[in-house]
This record gives sequence, C-alpha cells and structure tokens, in this order.
Amino acid sequence: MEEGRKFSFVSSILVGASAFVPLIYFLWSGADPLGSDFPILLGLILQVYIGFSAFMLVQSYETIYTERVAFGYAIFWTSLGICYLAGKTVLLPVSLEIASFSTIIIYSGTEFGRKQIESLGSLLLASGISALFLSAWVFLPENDPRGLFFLTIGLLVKSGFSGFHIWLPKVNEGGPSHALGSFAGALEIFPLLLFTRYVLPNWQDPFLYSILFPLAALGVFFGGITSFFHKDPKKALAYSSIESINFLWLCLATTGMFQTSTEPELKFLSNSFYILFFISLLHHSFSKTFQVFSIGLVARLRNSSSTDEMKGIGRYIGISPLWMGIGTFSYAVIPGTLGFVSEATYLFLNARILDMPLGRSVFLLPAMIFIFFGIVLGGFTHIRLFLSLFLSFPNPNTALPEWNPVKRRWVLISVGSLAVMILLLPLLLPFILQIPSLAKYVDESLRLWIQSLAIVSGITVMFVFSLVFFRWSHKIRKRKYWDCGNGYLGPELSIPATVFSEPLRNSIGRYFLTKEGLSIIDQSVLNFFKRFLNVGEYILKSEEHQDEEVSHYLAISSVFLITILAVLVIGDWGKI
Amino acid sequence: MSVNSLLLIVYQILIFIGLPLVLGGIVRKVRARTQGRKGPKILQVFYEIRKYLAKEPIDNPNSGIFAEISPIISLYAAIMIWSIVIFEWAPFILIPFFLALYRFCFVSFAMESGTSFGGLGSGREILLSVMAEPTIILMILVAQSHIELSLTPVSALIGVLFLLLSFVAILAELAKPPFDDPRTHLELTMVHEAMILEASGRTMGYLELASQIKLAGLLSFLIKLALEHSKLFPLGEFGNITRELLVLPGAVGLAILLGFWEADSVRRKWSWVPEFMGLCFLAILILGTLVKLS
Repeated sequence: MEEGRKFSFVSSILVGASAFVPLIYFLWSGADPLGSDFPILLGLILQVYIGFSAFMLVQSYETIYTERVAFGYAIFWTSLGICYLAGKTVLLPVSLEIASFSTIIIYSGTEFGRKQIESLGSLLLASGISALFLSAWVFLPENDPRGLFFLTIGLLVKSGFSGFHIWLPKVNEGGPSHALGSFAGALEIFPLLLFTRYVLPNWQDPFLYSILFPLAALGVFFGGITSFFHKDPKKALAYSSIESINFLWLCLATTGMFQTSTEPELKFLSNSFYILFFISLLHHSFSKTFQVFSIGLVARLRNSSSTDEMKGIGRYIGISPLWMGIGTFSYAVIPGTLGFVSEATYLFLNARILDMPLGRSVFLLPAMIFIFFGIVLGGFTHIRLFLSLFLSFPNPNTALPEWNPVKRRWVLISVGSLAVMILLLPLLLPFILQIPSLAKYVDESLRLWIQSLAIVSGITVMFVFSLVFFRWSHKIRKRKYWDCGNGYLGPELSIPATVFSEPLRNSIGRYFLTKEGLSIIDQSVLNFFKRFLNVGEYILKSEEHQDEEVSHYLAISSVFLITILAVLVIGDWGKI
Repeated sequence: MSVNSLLLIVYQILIFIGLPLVLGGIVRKVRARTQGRKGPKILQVFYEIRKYLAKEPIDNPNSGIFAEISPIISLYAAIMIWSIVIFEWAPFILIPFFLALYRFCFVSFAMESGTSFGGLGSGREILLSVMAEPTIILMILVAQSHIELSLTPVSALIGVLFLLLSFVAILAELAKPPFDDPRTHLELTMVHEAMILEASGRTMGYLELASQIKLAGLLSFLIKLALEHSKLFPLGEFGNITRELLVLPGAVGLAILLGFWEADSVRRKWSWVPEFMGLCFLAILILGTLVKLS
C-alpha cells in the first residue's frame, strides 16, 4: 500500500511536470506571452489546470492501472504542449499524433468493447485527418495562402466544427470521464487557440469568415437541440460540446469578418466578439470539464449509458448536490458563474447589433436569435441531467460497491478545483481584461458591462454562500411526509431525465433524432460514407470473371499510378 | 438633484414596496367580480404571506440543501428583477438571468422532495421555459435597444402586436392561462402549484412573496417596454417623468386585464403549448425585424 502511494506520488510529479514544462519553456523562450502569443499562453495555462483536475479524478477513477494512466497523461500533456509551441514546424502534426495515440494508454483500465474501440478509432481518425492538413500548412511556403486554408481545415476537423463533428460523440460514448474531461477542457480548444494565433491575424479577407459564420450558427442550433433529446448522458454532453465549440467559432468568425472594417460599430463588434471568445472559451473549458467529470462519474458508478437508469445516483456519492451542480449552474446561466458572464455579454452585443444601422442588423439579428435557441436548449440539457441524476430520489436498493470515502475525497478535489474557477473568474475578469493583449480590444462600454457583471456575480455568490452557511431564517427542523403522494415515499415516483425532454420530442426532437435516440444528421452522413466506402465491394461483387481478378487489379492500379504521375508532371510543367 | 428627481425617487420607492402587495390581490378581485363573486380583499395575498412567514416550515424527509436555500434565493432573484425594472440600476438584459435563477430555485425545490407532483410540475415548468425563454430574450433585447417606434398607423400596429405577443410570453412565464391554471387545484393539471405543493410555513411564504414580486416585475416591465420605445412622450425631463409616473397605472391596468383573462379563459392541453410558443417565437422574431424596419 505504502509502495503504491510512493509510486502514485512519482506519477503525480511526472504528470505535473509534463503539463508544466511546456508552459515554463514558453515563458523562457522569448515569446510574447502578453502580446501576439497570448492564445498560446492561455492554452498552456489551461492545460496545466485541467491536467491537475483530471489527474485528481484519475486517483478516484482508476485504482489498478493508475501508473499506466499517469504515464499516458505524461505523454499526452507533453505532446499537447509541444503542439502549442511547435509553430509552423513538422513537430506540430507529429506531436498531435503522439498526443492522440497516448490516449490508448490513458484508456487503460477501461473494459474494451465496441464503444471503447470506436471511441479510440474516432479520435485517431480525426487526429490523423487533421494532422494531414496541418502537414500541408507546415510544408507550404510562409506566404502561400493555401497554407492558411489547409491549416483552417485541419483545425476545424480537430475541434469538431459543424460538419466535421461526427467523431466527437463517438469519442464521448466510450471514453473514461477523466480523459473526456481533458479532451473537452484542453484538446478541443487547442485548435481554436491555434486559429486565433496563426489564421485570424493573417487572413484579413472576410470571405472565409462569412462561410464559417452560418455553418457555426447551424452547429450551435443543431448541437443544442440534439443534446437536449439525447438519452446517453455522455453523448448528450458531446453534442453540448459541439454547440459550445461552434459558438466559439461563431465568435471568431464575427471577429474576422469585421476586423478590417473602418466603421466604428463593426470594429466594436469585431473587438467585442474577440473578448467574448476568450470568456466563452474559459466557460467551456472549466464548465464542460466539470460536467463531464461529475456526470461521467455517475454513469461509471451505475455502469449504464441511459440517463433514466441513473436517476438519483448522485445522492449516493456523499457530496452535496449544490457542489456537484456548479457546472450545471454555469450552463443554466445563473448569475455568479462563468456561463452567466458569457451569455450576458452575448446578449449585450446582440442589443448593440439591434442598434446598428438598418441593413446589417436585419441581416445579423435573425441568425443571432436562432443561435439563442440552440444555446437555451444546450443549457437545459445540463439542467435536466442534473435534476434527474443528482436530485431525483434513487432506488434504495441500489448498491455502489466501488464507491468509498477515499474516492469521494479525490472527486471533491477534482471538481472543486474546477468549481473554484467557475465562481472566481467572473470576479477576476475586469482585471484579466487589463492584460495588454486584451485591453486594446475592450471598448469602454464593454469594460463597464463586464464590471457590472462582476459586481452582480459577487453579490449573488456572497448571498448564496451566506445562506448556505447560516440558513438565515429558513432552517428546516421538522420533517415529515405529507399525504400528497398517496403513500409512496420517493423512488417509485422520482423523475428520470426523459420526462423533461420527451414532451417536446414531437414538436422539435423528432426532426433531429431517431426513435432509438441517434442523431438523424450524423447517421445520414455516416451512412453516406459507408456507401461510398462500399463502392469497391460493389465492384468486386459485380465482377464475374474470377480468373482474371489479378490482371484486373493490376490494370486498375496501373491506371491510378499513371494518373498520379500525370498530375505530378503537369504540376511541374506549370512551374516551368 | 432637482425636486422633481427627488419626488420621482420617492414615487419609485413607494411603487417598489407597495405594488407587489396589491397586484396579485387586484387580479383575484377582478377575477371574482367577473365571475359574479365578491372575492377576497385586495390585500388578502399580503395577509396570507404574513401568516405563512410566521410559521415554522415543515418539509419532506427526502429534501436537503435545496429545500432550505431555494425559497430565499428565489425571493432574492425576484427582488433583483423588480429592482432592475423599477430603478433601472442595471440593464434589462440581466432580467432573463435572474428569471433563470428564480426558475431553477422552484424546480430544484420541487425535485429534491421526490414527490410525484414535484417532478410533474418541474417537467412542465422546464417545457414552458424552453419555449418561452427565446421569446422573452428577444423581447428584452428590444427593450434594451434604442429603437423608437414612430407614430404612424403601421408602426403603431406593429408595436401593439409585438406587445401582445410579449404579453403571451409573460403569461407563460407567470404560469397563467392558457399555459397553467392556478385556480383548478387539480394536481394533474397544475404547473406552478404542483411544484410548491410540499411547501409549508415560512417556505411557502418566501415562495409566494417571490411569485408576487415577479408578477409585479414582469407586468411593469411590459409597461416600460411600451412607454420607453414609443415617441409618445417629448424628450427631456418632462417626458422621462411622465413615463415613470405611468408605470403604476399601467401595471394596475394590466393586472385588471389579467383578472378578466383568468376569469374567461382555460388551460389548454400540453401538446398545444410547444406549437403555440414556437409560433409566438417566429411571430415575435418577424415583428422584431419589422419594429426595426419601421
């Protein structure tokens, strides 16, 4: 036991160092952390923090293969750190691939079934495709515009942008919670920060952003609705991630679209959405990781993928639902949380859009309002999961043999570290926005707005804390059953998560999900790819002359080879 | 500070304290009179709340932290909404967030007790909120903007239609017919009442007080939305004071209208609610665009 603890300590040092060293190297490398390299700085800081929280959860989650998982995390954080530091070098795609392959070790201890293999496969496939495009950027000359184009595609794929998102729910379906939290809090935001560092300042043409804007808006709408109706909590969180990530892309698209504008209102919009991007990124990173950790924990304890089978399990873990609900409060945009600051600022900017000259506001406002619908449903996804998993009354015969006070302590530290940031950052934002690289984008009205949000957040959080500790005049001393309930005592009547979503299924849900709970859009895309990949099989089946198979294959291969050579030769002629 | 401003602040403080205590009573009185009954006193709601607040709360053995803190937090959220509407110390944009806090308090209170009615009411409350929230957000965006409707007949018509749909969204938020019917006391048809069926004593007092303050807040907000975005009043101090003075009669007028509405309408079936609210959202979106264009 003691030896195990010593090794665990060594593992902690190993993981901590792997997350920290890239940050320290970055600070000593002569980069400009408070200037143009601010996105890189933020990414590296976030990976240190999320790395800490994830590793605390590993201590609770994984008891047999802790050292192996720690080793996987050491490789993962080092490689992800190198991804940030690599810049336009071959190290970028290579380290991205290493980070992705390290997840095989991180998944140690998970019982490998179809879902787990699909999860790893999807992650590796997305990383592989992304790495191909990143390599194209790396090997193209510095000023070649095609390079930025390839870089953008690679980053869109890796972040789960609308249309490129299909791998993300698959990854979430089978992965362990600590890994999924790390992906949500660090891996998914890495492409966005790289885009902010390398594409946004260098691609001034609004054309790219005017394509990204509607696609991102669709992603928010689709992600929010799908997550609300999904029955698997991990996949529901994945679609919620798609909604959040696309909202972040929307902020970047709006920033890019108007960054060269000379009109003050549009310039204000561009700058303010840039700031909103960073606020929402922090919200996504901390709140989504919190949600994946807390809801994933319940899913693991119940060993189920159906929300309805998990009702009330959160009551058994011995941690106050108030504490386990802080991520939900953030997504429910309750004042005092990061989610509140993010959404309130988005509303503030929409009100400014409404005040803009006629043509532009009439164009932008309907899009922004439909995005609200996605955001609102995305928020209610978290509310319905929390209400059912943590507040519903559980079956008293449910046993959780794996659970014990030591595990509880690690979970408390893990989610507690994230909760602190969700509650503290709204108060610190007015000071954070004074960092030179951000201050130049902050208009006076936006500064005052963020300040007032910080004050409102501070008052609300203090009020709630005072109530939690002192109860004021509302301490309930007497408890008894009323007759409303007809003699039933709780578990028979408690509410599963589908109670909240099913009444809306006929009106909205049926257009987005099948009866089995699968996304109609994603299934259609997957079926298309499946048919496309089966073309070869179809050709082979239609082939009747078995004896000539070899010569046919040779002929087809030769034709492809000649075509590739012809393309290369023509390309060279073009250069001459 | 001029004498007018000082008087205005005193007037606002009086409204802030007094209006929530009488608006609910006015609704009940008008409803009773419309149905040919005498009805309770206008201050009856206030007397009931006072009676509740004097009693010790008793709660379900299954309940925990949320049952203890939710009622006071819902009151806090309602007071924040009400103070923003009356004193405008913060932008109207903050209202949906305090509405979210208020709603979460009620729903978590109901869910934690683990009774059938609590769960049933919470589920319905979430359904109403999902459908009403985008409409309310759009309404608040217009309120926050500097759009002013001109006095042409077309603008007036668009403005009136916009306010009518806003009123519908507020009915959903306030759990009034056709979305909910607080009078029936048939548990299977209730939303708001079902959520607080377990509440007693001081718990009930806080929740009821929060509901009354929210009623005053949303009705007054609708009046302010109408007054502040039309060119009915001249610019300057006189116009501003007139607008503020009209909040009280406007809110009382809306409460009377609500009383008539409650007396003469019924709750519709649930499958109708999402379709109707979806339609409202689209209509208010189109009207919002037309408001901007007019």
